[in-house]
Amino acid sequence: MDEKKHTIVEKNFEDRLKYAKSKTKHSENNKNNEKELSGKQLGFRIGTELIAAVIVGGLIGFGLDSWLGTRPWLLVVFVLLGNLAGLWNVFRITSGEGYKMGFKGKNLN
Amino acid sequence: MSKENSPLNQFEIQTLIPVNLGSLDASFTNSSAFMLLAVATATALMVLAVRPKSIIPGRWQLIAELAYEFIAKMISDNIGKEGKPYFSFIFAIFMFVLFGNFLGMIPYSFTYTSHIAVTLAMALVIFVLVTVLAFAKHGIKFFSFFLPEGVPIFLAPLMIAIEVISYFTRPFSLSIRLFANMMAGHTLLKVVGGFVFPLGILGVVPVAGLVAITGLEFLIAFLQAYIFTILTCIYINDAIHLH
Repeated sequence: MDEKKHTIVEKNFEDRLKYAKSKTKHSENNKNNEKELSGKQLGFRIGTELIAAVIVGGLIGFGLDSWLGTRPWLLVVFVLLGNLAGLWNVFRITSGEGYKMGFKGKNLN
Repeated sequence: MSKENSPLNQFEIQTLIPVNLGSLDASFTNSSAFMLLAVATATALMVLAVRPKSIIPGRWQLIAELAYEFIAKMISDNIGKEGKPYFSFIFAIFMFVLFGNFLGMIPYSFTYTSHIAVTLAMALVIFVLVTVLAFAKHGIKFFSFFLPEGVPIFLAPLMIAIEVISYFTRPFSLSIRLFANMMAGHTLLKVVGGFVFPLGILGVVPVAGLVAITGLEFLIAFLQAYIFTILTCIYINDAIHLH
């Protein structure tokens, strides 16, 4: 009687251990999956992405212009590049690549 | 409208103890005071709550353990095993942003996360650390980051420029998101609150709105801390695995 009870407890423990192990294994295999965000949050994220890219492009262009004395040509070029980078980031977010750079990790998932 | 009643008055920095290092104004402000308070409360929560060390956790210990497990799971989901050394850094960032957002929800308090100076400084620290980490892990190979695989060679100059800009976009989008969310929410609360007394008996309508918005603000306070932290995880993951 006592022995039987013991094995049941042991079995349960084994099961529980197996379950816990499979859980951690799963979460380790499952990296890079971004959580689904609500529509508002996704919209906000895309909005900031677009604005931030233009700001960064403008800052880089302005900095290079005042350094090289080519005002305003590099500003124009880099604001346009910033726009492209923003759209590129939005495309990456909406196509499920998240914030990954350079698209190389597609088969990692 | 007088200056005291302006909805933006709550974001004003007030000097508590003036400190001047040469020409640098390093005064102790209400912003610094609330940062210290956030660090103190977060530390107190983590230290005092786990002091009983009971197997069956009490309420406070449960909160501390939930916070720990939340970040631990976030790291194992987004970075994997290699992310474990960065746990303390990510956890500190999460607690600092979370307590900043939540302490800001107390009436008459100051929300330091609603200032871009604070969020941009944090985002730049993360950005520099992640870049240094990527360089330390991969050396010169880090630059392959900027050229996606399978791009035609004549497009490479354009793609590299775009990828570099999009890399430098990270600290800005990270900080603008947090600061804009917090500032917009707190301003909205003040503006709606300004309608309550002038409307007289009809003021119950904005009060009902305020109750709902306050609830929403608590959700956003947590959500923005979560997003800030998960993006930090994703950046560290990018630096370690270098796609």
